[in-house]
Amino acid sequence: MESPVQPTSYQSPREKAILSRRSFIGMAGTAALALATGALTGCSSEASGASDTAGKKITVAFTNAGYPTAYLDDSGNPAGYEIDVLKRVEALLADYDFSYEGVDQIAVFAGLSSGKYDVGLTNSFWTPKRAETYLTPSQNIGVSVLGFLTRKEFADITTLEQAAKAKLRLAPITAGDGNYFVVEDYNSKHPDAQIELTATDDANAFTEAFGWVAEKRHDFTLVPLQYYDALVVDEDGPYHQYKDILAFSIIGATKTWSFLAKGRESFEADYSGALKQLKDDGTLAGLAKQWYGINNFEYLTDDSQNYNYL
Amino acid sequence: MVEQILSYLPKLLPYLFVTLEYVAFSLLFGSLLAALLTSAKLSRFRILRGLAFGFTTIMRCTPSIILLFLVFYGLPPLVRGVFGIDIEHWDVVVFVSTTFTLFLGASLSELARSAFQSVDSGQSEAAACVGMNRAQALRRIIVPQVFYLMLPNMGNTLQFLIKEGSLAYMIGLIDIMGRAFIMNSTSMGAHVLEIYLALALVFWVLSLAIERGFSLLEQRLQAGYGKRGKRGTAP
Repeated sequence: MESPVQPTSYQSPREKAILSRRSFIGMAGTAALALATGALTGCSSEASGASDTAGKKITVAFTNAGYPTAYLDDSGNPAGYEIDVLKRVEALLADYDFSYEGVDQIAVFAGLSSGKYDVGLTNSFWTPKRAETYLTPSQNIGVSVLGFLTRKEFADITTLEQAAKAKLRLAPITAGDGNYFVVEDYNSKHPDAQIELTATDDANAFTEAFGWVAEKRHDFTLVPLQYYDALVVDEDGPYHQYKDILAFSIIGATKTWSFLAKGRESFEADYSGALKQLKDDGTLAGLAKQWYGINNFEYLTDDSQNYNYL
Repeated sequence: MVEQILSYLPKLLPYLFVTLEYVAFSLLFGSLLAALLTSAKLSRFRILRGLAFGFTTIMRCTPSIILLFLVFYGLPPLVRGVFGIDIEHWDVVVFVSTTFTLFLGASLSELARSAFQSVDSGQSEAAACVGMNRAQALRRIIVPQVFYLMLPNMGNTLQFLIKEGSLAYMIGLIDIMGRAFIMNSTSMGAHVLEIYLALALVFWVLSLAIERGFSLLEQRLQAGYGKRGKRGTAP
């Protein structure tokens, strides 16, 4: 089910925390790229068609600072949940030879559009616009768990609907953050229990919201479990002093997708088949547990839906 | 806090070499390009002048991030189409250096052009009077002065270039800046301040060194001209 509002682009919350003007300028870069691909690579659509049949070489682009989903480790090697999934996929597809390139998220999408990359790993949610621009595999690669951060006094609230009815105030969400779309989706399905949604251009809003909630400026925010662990539970965490004030619970999950460049149809069939096999035999669940500390797939209550929340 | 900042330093420092690598390549090839462009700009041929000035204008009007994306995504198909060579998977430092070579070529050529034009034409004439040919006059009289005049701006350009690693990071060049971004990510943004302060520390030291280096160079060159009466610029 889709929300009536279709944002052109947004990131999952984990990535959003990698704040910066870089993504912002990157948009300008993408705009230039659209021109560039038009002007310079007029032949790229045919080229990508050819590479589908001829090339068994697959270039996988990933976000190089998307810990723990995909990132470059201390020795400069690709690591993370999505990277491990791709390595398992590669092991199943003997005909293909995978190579990995770590770039910024915006560059992953730019390279998918230009046909430079075959597979893009960005820990992204599915959106209609993305589905139009890229080839979407029939199997999702992972699941992003939606955490609900509030103060201890509201600890018994465990669904968005309860939060809406209790008139809890949601902290502003950075424009483009995946959670923004989650709340929009919720609002479209619950006209009688709306959550007031405020967007901000503050790239740090994601982590600052921990303080805002603790200091009662707002009542709750949506964050992944790992951030709660690293920022609050961890003794070195910047918000550790709020550990007795804040309460955290998991209230839902969203499917995350890898995207392929257009024209890779025959590879897509093999790739999706491999992903499906890895999901069915429990490999994906095991990797999720290894990287996120929990089996994200368990929280996906309705597998037919992209967005699952209580 | 101080301990933490210091503990990040050894993790960042090795990546300074990546920064210096693209800076060195860009400076080398950028200077060569600038030399070509400058001679085109000062040439008698109108077409050459037009081309060189046109190139400079386009480069100046293009934000560096856009040029970086154009080079990174646009160059490989172009080279494949024209020369049939596949450069798609060449090391990313090639694309970064190419981008900044184009930029530096344009900006340094403007610095050099204005420096050339500010050297009094009487000097070339005087050189000719004592029997030097054009090449000798350039090498012994004009270029040293041009170099001296360009120095302060060159220092600025170098400082600017060193900090452009944050853009190069977007296409996957992990220099010291990129490493800091990734370290922020792997620590879930819990130590942003400490990591950036460690990074700032490295840049401060580096910038001071560059500044000092350039002012020493300037003093030396000035001594050469200054003591025997100001032969450089017009008074």
